[in-house]
Amino acid sequence: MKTPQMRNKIVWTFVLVLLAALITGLTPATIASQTDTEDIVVLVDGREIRGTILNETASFVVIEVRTGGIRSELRFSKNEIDRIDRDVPVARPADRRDQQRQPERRTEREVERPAGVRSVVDEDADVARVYHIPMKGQMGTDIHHEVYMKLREDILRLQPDLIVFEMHCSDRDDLLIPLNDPRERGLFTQKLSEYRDLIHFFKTDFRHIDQVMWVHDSYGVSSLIALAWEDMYMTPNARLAGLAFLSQMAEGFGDQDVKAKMLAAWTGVARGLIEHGGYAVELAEAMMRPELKLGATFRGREVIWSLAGDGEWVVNDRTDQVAAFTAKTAEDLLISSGTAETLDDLMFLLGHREFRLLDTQVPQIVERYKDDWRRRFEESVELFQDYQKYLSWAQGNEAIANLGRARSAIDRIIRLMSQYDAIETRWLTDYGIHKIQLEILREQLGEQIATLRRQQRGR
Amino acid sequence: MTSNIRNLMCLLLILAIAPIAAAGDAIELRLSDGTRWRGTTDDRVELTVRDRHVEQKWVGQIVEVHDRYIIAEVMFGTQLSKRPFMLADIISIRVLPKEEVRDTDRPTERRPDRTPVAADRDRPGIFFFPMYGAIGYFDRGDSRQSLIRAEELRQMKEYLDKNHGPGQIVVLHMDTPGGAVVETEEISKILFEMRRDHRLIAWVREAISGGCYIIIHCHEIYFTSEGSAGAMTPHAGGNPVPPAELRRYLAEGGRLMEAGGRSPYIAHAMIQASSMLSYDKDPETGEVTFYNDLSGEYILSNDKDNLVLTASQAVHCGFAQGIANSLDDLAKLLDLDEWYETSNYGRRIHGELSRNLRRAADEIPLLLGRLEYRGTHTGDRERVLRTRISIWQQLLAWWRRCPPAAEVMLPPEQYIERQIEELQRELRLLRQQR
Repeated sequence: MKTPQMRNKIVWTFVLVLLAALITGLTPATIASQTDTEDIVVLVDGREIRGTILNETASFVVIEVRTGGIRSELRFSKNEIDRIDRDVPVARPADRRDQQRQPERRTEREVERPAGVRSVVDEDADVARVYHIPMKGQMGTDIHHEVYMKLREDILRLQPDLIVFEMHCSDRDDLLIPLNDPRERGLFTQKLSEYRDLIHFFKTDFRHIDQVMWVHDSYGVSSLIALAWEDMYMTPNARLAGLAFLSQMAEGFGDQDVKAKMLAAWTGVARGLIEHGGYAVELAEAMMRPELKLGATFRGREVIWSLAGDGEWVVNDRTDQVAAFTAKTAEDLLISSGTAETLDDLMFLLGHREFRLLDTQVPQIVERYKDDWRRRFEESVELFQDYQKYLSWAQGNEAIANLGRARSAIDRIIRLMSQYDAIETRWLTDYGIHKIQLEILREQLGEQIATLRRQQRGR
Repeated sequence: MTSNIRNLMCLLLILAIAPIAAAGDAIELRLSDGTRWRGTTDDRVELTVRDRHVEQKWVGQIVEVHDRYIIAEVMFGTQLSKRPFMLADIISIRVLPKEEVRDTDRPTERRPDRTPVAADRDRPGIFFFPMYGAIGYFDRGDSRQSLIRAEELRQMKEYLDKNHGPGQIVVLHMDTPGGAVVETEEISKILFEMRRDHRLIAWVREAISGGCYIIIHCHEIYFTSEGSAGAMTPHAGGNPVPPAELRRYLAEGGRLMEAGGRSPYIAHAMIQASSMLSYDKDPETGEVTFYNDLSGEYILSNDKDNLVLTASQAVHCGFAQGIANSLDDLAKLLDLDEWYETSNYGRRIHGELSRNLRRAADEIPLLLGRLEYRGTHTGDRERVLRTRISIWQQLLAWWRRCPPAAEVMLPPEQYIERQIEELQRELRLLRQQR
């Protein structure tokens, strides 16, 4: 049983605690604010804005951001926002590092390879961890920036020591090997921005990871991509060429000043990409402009290029064709860093006697994507043939049914275009048909069906 | 009950009704529209309040928070006083930068001699302004799906003048193949004014033709590694401009280059193929001397080629001040501790324009197609007329919403208005017959 004194003591203890809480500011509101949390506004373009949301309505969000002592208020429309994560604990730097790298746990195995280079599967920190990214097919469709930019999280998670890009792309006419199907020509103007985004994505966002471009063949637009990397290797039968189309884009302009402008504009943009890989401007010009010759003079490991064609080595003395390179000439002229037939050879040239090829699904993803979109593209072409067939059958008693089938076929094509940008692109480049035209066609068919139904009801 | 306990009960009662938040505490308010606002009692805020159907703005500090109302210390008349504001009446709350002192005589009136200040007196504000796409016209085939107009730049300038004052850093992020000369010249006029008050930075991914003409207005130019700039030759749909026009362009280009501390010969080589350009660079001082011939050690343009500079060329000859591949890189080059943006206003207005253009590219062709067939299945002439009027009205709305897209994709506004008038007349006559 409590005495009055004990009761008073308990009550006063409680009061004192409450007073202490108020004085130090430990109210519920401030308790919440003193835990390390932040709000994260994730934008549709992937950017994450971290801070404290100050105001939010149905149409916008205002977030306070503090960087380096500077306080800013940023306002975003809800259209720009993918999602909002509220009260996220602020990760300590060590936690963030742990989150980024999660080493895989594998049992130790070892594969002996004939070249003396060993691909191992173990956790040895001295073994280079290699992330392999194939780029095969037509530029702009098979090699599509969206497929590769989705690898961001995977690369961040695995934190490889080395990324190896494997380029197989021949999508322009060669004098000796003409392109069988002109529709397979690599895309340039339509996709230039996306190619730059792709290069920027890897070279800037992952600049802390060594990267190597391994060219199995590159004839056409892909050579611009390949040359954006300083460390480039080639397989023995690879080509590095096919950029003459850039100067051909300036043909058709009669005035010399305008023609020179157009030529400079297109080749200038391309030169920027090639220079990004550390290659000489003269080399880039000679690969694009047939009227220029190319000569090389060696000063140690440095090559001095000449567009007059003079020098120790006359690379191209013709004025009706551009400079083109095989694996051997590219290596001899110090354009490529070496020739490697297999991945083991490549790793050996890079100084790795042991390496571990990370078990990612990237090659399968890339191959599957290519197979999928091409298969669906063929399907869309057949669907259009079906549309034409059903349209021709749409008469008499079967008119409504066949118009419905025709509309379904168009609807399916539209959905395939929405699923694969490559399909939409190929419909435009191959047939000159835009997705909007198909949407209008679908609506027109709907109107025809409705008209026939009304007429039937009227009878 | 003893006196001690009575006193204790009074104390507890006082504490129970005491303000939830003490000075400097974080506060969270739920406004009448259901949104949440978070801040602290130290914040200077602008309250937008509905008072008998009239919106009023009050600037002050929230000092007390209660369940259904807050008390804020605001200027009322000429006096600083505490006023209650019902939460249900508060439309919005905006935190003001601490330096932005806006004493008001009346709730919605600004002090006439208000001096705009940057968010931080020691560091200027930084504003990012995207300039993507063709200049002055919407190219639907361009994957950038945007365009550059003087209008957005004008809005940016006015926003800076009104809210932040002179001395800001404005970064123009350039990715353009050029475009209309007339629009470029309008942009030039605005940039001339802006460069007087602000530090203009060009960050170049691609600045060809008119794009290059824009960047030479800037105090500093930085490239991305793959960047390129040049080829400023004006032309009329592929045809050369009259010689007098070309001379004017050469003179203007040269003058702009000189105003930016660059050689006018650079402009000449970028405009005319026959203009040559070379330079020497002092290996010790780095000073660059340009020549309009090929006598210099470094040759940039011969008498047949037009000049486009790559990143390394631009930096080596002094046209550009550095290479930055990210905003963090750019911050370092601008001597900033780190990248920050005082406001995303520039990004917002550009984003809005781009969204409208993309929507227009999808919707306008669909609407034009629908003019032919929409509603025809009904057989009802009146319904068809009403449908067509509605579609034409939607197309007219696009002229108001996004003129750049409408100019490319629609007939003139007056034509659309006449179409609507004709159809409305036809509808009237039809109804009269019935």
